[in-house]
Amino acid sequence: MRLKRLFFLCITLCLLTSCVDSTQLEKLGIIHTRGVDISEEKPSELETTLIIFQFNAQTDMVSKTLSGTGHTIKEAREQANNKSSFALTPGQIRLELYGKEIAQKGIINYLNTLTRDAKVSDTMLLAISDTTAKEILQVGQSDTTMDIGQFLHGLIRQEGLEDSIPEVALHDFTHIYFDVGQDPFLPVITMDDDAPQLAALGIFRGDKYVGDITLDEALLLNMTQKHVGFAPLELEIPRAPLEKYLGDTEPIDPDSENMYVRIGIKGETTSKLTDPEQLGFRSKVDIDVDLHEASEEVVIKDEKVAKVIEEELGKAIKKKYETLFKKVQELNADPIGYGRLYRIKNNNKLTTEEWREKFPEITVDFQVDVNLVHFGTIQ
Amino acid sequence: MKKAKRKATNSFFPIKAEKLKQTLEDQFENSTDLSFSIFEHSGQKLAVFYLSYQVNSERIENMLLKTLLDSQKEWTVETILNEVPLNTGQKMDKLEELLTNLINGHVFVYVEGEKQVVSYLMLNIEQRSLTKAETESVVIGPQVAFTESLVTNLNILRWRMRSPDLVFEKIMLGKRTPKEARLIYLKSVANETDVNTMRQRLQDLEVDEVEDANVLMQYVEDSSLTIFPQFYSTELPDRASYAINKGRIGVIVENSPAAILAPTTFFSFFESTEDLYMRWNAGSFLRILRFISMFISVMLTPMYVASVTFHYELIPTQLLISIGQSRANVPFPPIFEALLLELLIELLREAGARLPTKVGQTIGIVGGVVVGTAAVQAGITSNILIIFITISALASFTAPSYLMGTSIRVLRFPMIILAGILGIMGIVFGISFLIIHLLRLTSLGRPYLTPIYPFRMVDLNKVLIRFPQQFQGKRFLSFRPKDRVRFNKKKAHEKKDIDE
Amino acid sequence: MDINVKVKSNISIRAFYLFFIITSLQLGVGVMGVPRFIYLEAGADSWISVLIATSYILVVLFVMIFILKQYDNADIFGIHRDLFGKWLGNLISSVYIIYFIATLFSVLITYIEVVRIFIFPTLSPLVMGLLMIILAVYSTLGGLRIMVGVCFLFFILTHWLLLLLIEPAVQIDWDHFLPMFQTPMPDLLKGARATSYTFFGIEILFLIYPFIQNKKGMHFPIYMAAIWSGLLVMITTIITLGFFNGEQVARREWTLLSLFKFQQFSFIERLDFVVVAEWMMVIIPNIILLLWGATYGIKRIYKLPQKVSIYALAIPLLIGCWLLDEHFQIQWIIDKINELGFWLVYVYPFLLLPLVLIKKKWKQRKRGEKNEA
Repeated sequence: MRLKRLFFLCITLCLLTSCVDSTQLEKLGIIHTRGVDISEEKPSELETTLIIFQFNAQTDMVSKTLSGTGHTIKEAREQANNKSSFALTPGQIRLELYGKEIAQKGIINYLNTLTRDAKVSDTMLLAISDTTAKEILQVGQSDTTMDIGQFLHGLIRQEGLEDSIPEVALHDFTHIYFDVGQDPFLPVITMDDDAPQLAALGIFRGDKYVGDITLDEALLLNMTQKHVGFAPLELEIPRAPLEKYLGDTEPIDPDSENMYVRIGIKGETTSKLTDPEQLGFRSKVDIDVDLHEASEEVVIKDEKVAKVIEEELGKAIKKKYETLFKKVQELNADPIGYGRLYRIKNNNKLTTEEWREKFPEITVDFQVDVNLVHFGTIQ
Repeated sequence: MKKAKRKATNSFFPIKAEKLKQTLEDQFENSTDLSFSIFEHSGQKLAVFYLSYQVNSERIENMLLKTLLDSQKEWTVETILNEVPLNTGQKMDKLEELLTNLINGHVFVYVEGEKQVVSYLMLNIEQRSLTKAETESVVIGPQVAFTESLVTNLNILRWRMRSPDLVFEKIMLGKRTPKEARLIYLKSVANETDVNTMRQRLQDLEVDEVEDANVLMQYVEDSSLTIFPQFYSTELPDRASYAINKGRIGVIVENSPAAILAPTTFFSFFESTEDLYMRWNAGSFLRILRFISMFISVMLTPMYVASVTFHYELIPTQLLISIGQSRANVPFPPIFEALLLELLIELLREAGARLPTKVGQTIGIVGGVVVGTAAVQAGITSNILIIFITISALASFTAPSYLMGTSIRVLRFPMIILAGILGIMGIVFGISFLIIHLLRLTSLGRPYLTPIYPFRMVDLNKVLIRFPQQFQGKRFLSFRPKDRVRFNKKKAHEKKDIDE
Repeated sequence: MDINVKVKSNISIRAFYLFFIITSLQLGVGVMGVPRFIYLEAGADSWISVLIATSYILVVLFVMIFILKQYDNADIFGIHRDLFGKWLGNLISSVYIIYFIATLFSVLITYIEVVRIFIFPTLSPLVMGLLMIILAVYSTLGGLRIMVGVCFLFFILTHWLLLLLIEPAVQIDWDHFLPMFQTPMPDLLKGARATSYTFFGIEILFLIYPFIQNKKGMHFPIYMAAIWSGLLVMITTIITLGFFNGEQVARREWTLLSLFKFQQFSFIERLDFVVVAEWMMVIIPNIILLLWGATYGIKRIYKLPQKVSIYALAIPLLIGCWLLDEHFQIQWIIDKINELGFWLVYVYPFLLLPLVLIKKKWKQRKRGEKNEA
């Protein structure tokens, strides 16, 4: 009986050897970063720029750039594969970069492709280029001292970890996209003196890229999404109310009416639908602030001074929020998600189209409550 | 032999001394080791014979011959037994019996014309003295190990457990070259069914010879096809006495420095007596470490093979780059690479074990350092795999039982092959198969995985974590000992408020 | 065939293990995709559907236990024989056996499909089927006690996966459950019905009852098992619906597995691979118990030794795995089993109950008449 079983097992093992395609590491070109553009030569096709890892005995260079065109991303990948002796695989994609043009036309289709493929991680990051993805990836790659793919991934991830920008993984994007009453956003990468850098946060209407907000505003947006833990922010506040408490250091620009403070923000913004009829919302910004640096010396002797600073910071933040809100209202995109609140109040009956009509009409009352917590070891 | 037998039946004695000599020499094929001397004493012919290498000849001369020859008496069987100052005197009259005892180290005195022969046991065994345990060496606690002598071993055990409850049941094993074995248990504690099962299995054994306790173990185990040992074989008397005290059964065999302990659970192969000698928390830590090592030892290399062969997605990016770079030069698929290195490690271990200690160490260094480095530089293996293989080899040596350690090392090979063929599915299949296999095993009819399955909460305090002594009031109940309680828990655990 | 089963004491099991047997059989392939099915019917109030389904199952279990208690030590086959006589009884019992085999088959092919989607797209279903059937046959040959051990150990070895759900649980967007209590009752009931395939498994009680040692202590583990399974399905449904939004849930095939895609450890980048592979350990107790149920039934009715029928079943199952590998074929099979199982598991006990009671009354009266006479 036992022997029969063992025999059975042996036969099985023999059978098995021929069954699964092995994908040995060193025979693969492991795609790390992918750029998607509309092809310049053939406008009906996509062009992908791939940064791959390949492990080759001959060279020490691990990463390499390839590109290919095709009607689908997979086809473009196949075409790129013809230029490489390694089998290109998508299992380790960490970043996908979309060109400006293609982002403006809508990207959800490509995202669905990614989600459909079980090999692709849902934690991969997405970003858009302010020119084409190809340009950023290729220019960056010409600089041999760094790997552009890993660099960009690290850059966006770091900002995300610092809470300076909202999470922009594939999952977050699709999540927001499919939620009725909210629009997604992605970071915008730009080329500055041949060095790629984070420029702004791109706002989408549906899956179409429609405009930018600044990185400071991105932090404010992030606060509406989640509880932010001490993200840095620079604010401009008027000098006048603080005149009494300023030290006698000479500012760089003595004529200016404003001064600058750099603070760390901890807190979140919670919104509420206050007036369903008139579409009135109230967003309550509740933050703790650490004072890191000021352009002029502020002597915080007692609570009174702190109160004044809190008040001024509050005003500045409120102003920022209002600018942000105005901007997105003009774009008719709702990254903050007021539509969700409306949908919940409205018994789940809301379509994206309805919200597009209503969104430009909503009013939001921002209430800022600042609480100065620490200001370092000196007063 | 047949001839002699027939003679024995129709009364062998009385016999002429020369004739007796002739018969014995025929039996032993004129062996020069048979010392047969005939003394003419007071008109009597006294024949004294023995196997020269089996007996203590000094004692024969001093005690036996001196008494016999100095006196002017006429000797009969009775007078010899009465007057020779030795206490092992016996009478016998059958040739068969005589031969067996001759082999076993008796000295015979035959007075010509008598119907019986007198024998004295003067066995002289050359044996090594007690030494420290080698294969199961311990840091703290008793160091002494069993030796090849049954008597010594019994002596050590009795020295450790001076209880009239302790039973040494004698059982003869082996048909052609019989060997003495002892079934050891505490009468008031050990489960009777288990004792009966063990006794039955030993008695029913029909083999020519039992070479060693480890061989006996394989004869009487529940399943002989599996890779896992189902009885514990130990060379540590403290381990044996501890187990017997808890109600298990021990078997020791003449000529073997190992005691068999049964029934045994899978988990007890990872327990060392040291865990007991240490503080409970330190002991538990070591025990858990051993379980983790076992897991690592079986899983680490297969995981590497699976992820490098199939699942590059699993590897974090930074690690992926370093693994990829080190793999770039390697001409073999990962599975061969891994098997090659595993084989190398096994070679080193085996060579080290066969060679004398001093040379063995050199081999270890040469093999490990020189071959390892050279292999990486020559691009045959990746250095990351060398790290993995070394860790898993090290981990496999932590099992206190050498038998179990070897089993685990052997298990790695099928696991690597499965991982190389089916990736992570192969590994899960392998693990599942192992678990089901372990579930199916029994030790002396008791489930092998107890107390995890069949689940027994009270016994868990002895398995993964060794709880402090005051919680150990009960014996290992999964084995149904007769006496369940070691001490009263309430007394061990008096409650007091602060500062009282 | 005897109505009551005589069980040797060395193969009977403690009632305590019923918990593991029932949960092991309930939680299998179904739970991987069930949040989606419930959501499609009941929307944001899916958790209420799970609650309804669980309470209903508790009632079914109560009825099942009540039926079994009317006999000394009978299983469903014996009860059928008693109620319907030889021919009809065997026929109904055969339906039970077919249901077991079909469920077993559906579990196999579903899991194979999942492995093919998530890990090895090119893997031959034959190989995957072979692996699982080897394990199933090997442990079934060990007998009931070994199988219960497999359930018990694999339960412990797989439930650590729940810890991996903490991360997505923290990120739940509670807005997805708002507004609450908006789904109409019929939809909720439909949602509850959508869980039926997942919650199959309580029927094993009808078979395993004679093997239980301490029948007095069996209520607690049985009800706890149903509650535990219900709780797990509830937790996974809530986490899935909170973590994904409705549109995503509706589109994702194996929603629960997708949840594990967001986990990262410093030494393992993708836990979903590990989870899908580890899920084999969730599946195996399922297969084992179903295989045992089917072969045990065959033995009871047709007197075919289990050692023969196990092999005789394994081979056609293997060939079936090989032939059926299209998603919609598999879905079709599951739908059919779902329908059969629904009536057999959730409705049939209620039909059986009055029959059993009538039969018992009738017997008592007959005995009474005899005594009088």
